[in-house]
Amino acid sequence: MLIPLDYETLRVIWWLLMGVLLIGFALTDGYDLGTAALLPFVGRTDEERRLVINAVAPHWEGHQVWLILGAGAIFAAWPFVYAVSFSGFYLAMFLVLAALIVRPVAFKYRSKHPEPAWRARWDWALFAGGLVPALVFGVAVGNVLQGAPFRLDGDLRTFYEGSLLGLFSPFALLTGLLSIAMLVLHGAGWLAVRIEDGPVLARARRLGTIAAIASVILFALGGLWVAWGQIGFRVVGAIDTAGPSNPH
Amino acid sequence: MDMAVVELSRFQFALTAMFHFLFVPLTLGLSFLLVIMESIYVMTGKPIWRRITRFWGKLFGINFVLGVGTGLTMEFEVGTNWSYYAHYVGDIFGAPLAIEGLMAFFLEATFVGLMFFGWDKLSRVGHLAVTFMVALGTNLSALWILIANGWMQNPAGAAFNPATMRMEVTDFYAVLFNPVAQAKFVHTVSAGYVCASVFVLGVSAWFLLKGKWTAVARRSITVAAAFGLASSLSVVVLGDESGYALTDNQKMKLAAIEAMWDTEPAPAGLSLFGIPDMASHTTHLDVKIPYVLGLIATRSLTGQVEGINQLVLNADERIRSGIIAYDAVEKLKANRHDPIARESFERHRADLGYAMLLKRHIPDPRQASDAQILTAARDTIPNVPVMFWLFRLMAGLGFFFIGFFALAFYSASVGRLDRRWFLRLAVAIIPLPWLAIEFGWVLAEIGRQPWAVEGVLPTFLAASSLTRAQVWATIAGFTLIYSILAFIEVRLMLATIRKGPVEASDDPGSDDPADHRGLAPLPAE
Repeated sequence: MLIPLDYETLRVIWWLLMGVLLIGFALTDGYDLGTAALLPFVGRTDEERRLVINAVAPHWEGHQVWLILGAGAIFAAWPFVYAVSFSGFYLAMFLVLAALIVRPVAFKYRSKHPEPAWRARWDWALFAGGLVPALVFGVAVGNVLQGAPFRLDGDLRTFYEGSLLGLFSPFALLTGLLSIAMLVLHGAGWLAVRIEDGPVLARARRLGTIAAIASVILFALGGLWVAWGQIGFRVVGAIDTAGPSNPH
Repeated sequence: MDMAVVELSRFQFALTAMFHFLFVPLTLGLSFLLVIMESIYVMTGKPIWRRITRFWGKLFGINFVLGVGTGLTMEFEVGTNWSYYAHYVGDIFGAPLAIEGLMAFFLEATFVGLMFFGWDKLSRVGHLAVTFMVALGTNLSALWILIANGWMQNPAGAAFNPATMRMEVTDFYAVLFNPVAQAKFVHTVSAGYVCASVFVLGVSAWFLLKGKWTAVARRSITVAAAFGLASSLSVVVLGDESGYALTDNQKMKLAAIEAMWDTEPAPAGLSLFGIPDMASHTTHLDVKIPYVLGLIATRSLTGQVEGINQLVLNADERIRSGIIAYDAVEKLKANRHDPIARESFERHRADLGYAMLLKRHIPDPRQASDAQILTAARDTIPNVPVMFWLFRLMAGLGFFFIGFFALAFYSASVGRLDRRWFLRLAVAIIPLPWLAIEFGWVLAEIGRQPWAVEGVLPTFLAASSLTRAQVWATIAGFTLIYSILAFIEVRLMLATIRKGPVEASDDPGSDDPADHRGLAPLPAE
């Protein structure tokens, strides 16, 4: 097939695209994840919670597309990365998926009945739908920094040699908490812009401040850990730069 | 490979895909019915058509969100449960999925919010344009997914690269304009249109039986009957039999559907009834209409439809040729520049996948005995009785819908929508299109076995290296979440239908949040 660009250039373009997509996801869907994780704490009454939900309800569908696009882009551009990470992080991926299935349904169905019990249940679903992905994505970043334990056989079939609990190492938990703190800060900021006044605004501001301080501390801790802690793998062998990673 | 993990992964994929496809057909069809209804509103300006559009739009919303939520599962599963597949063919299969996200999903996700929130903010024509974009987005989404699925049935435009141990795109246009994918797309979306038409007609008939909302119900029936008649004709006429002559696996699928064990002189007859016997390769009590199958499958009087036993012999030959390709790949792994191995690989590359069928019976296909090769060749026969009967049920339902919509169209045209037996029938058959559609998918995917990608990668090699416990855990998880969601969805649909096409203005006691102390409305209200 005729491609007017050489493979090296394409690779850089796709790295950039991938960065844009994942940052786009964190920026846009981050509002929804953070807001949902804050929902039970900033909104005490049904009316307050509806105020909070209305701040993200018209946007979440558009925002979630960034995630689908990000996953699609990894699959299309790096099928191998997709194969290794999704099958390796099997149960963690299921947790994210379950949260992402329940979240849209909760947004849509919560308002269908007025009973407090019905609404309270969907509120908890929204809370989990915000918190679980925030945690797991953070843990995933931690694991990427540490390196994932997998091996390949001669047919390039991957064998993952870690476990679900192994994913939640102390360092990965730190990055997971950092991710929650950052997204909560993000969601609180969104609420502060969207809601004009009242108790919800005051609570969002207070929780946002706490999350901001937590983010700074956790980020600094992570930096120290990476600098002086023994994490991850080191390349010890020679690197074959002429390996056949190019399609032609 | 642990075969239990493979079977469990297949079961989970079937479970989640079939659950997802409970919601997709209604989304596909109802979105276009909404476009038609709203177009009438824009053209005539009569408020009743606005009420009609908003009522079906409300049901569309309840259904749509589950379609979106459960659709993500399959994209994930390709990575989680079928990771060798993701690596092996991701170069081709990933592209349509990514384009679907980029094009179709962006379109529908952006516009679906506007569709529900924009009734009072957009002009009439503006809102109609938004509704149309939602319909276009959902249908484009189906197009890209079926391009991906069509490629699994007929892997055009791709070749195996021994240096990277995976399939790579050679001709993207061949992937896009794959005839199997095109046939599947038309067949699948038409089935969705039939499904939505049956749904709208059935619910409206229930209103008429109860004597409620008759003005809305009669008009809805007229639209659904016309749209349903056109779609039910298209779903049968444009069935995807046009792709059955293309590849060995598609030929095998056709032969299995017809339980045709041996090649017959052209043109072959079409079986109406029979009891296929997998052990003895015969069909008991076979009732045939002469010539019809040959005409449908080859569109000629002389084209031959091959039988199962002949196709097994083909497979046997291709496995032997594939072993040479496999041997060449192993040699190329040791030395990428081995010219003899390269040459022999080029000559036998088309059959490489066939050698991999042997891996189920022996780790190294090059050591296979004649008996093992024959067993592997027989593995290419899908489950014939299941194929035979599911096809007859699906096609029978297809013809039934044509008759049903012809009657509905006639009744609506002459103003005879008062026959209670007809209205009762319309209510009773609401589940049937879903049944036919699920049969169709089982047929297409069971018929593809033993391949994940026909002739390229056997299903049992495509799975991830997982443990049984892991897959059981997620099967249990999906079953739990999906059961709860299905239960809630059906109850919400029924409650919305029972409440009928009320608007906030004529029911002040309703739970329409627009009435509550000046708060903005919640989604899909």
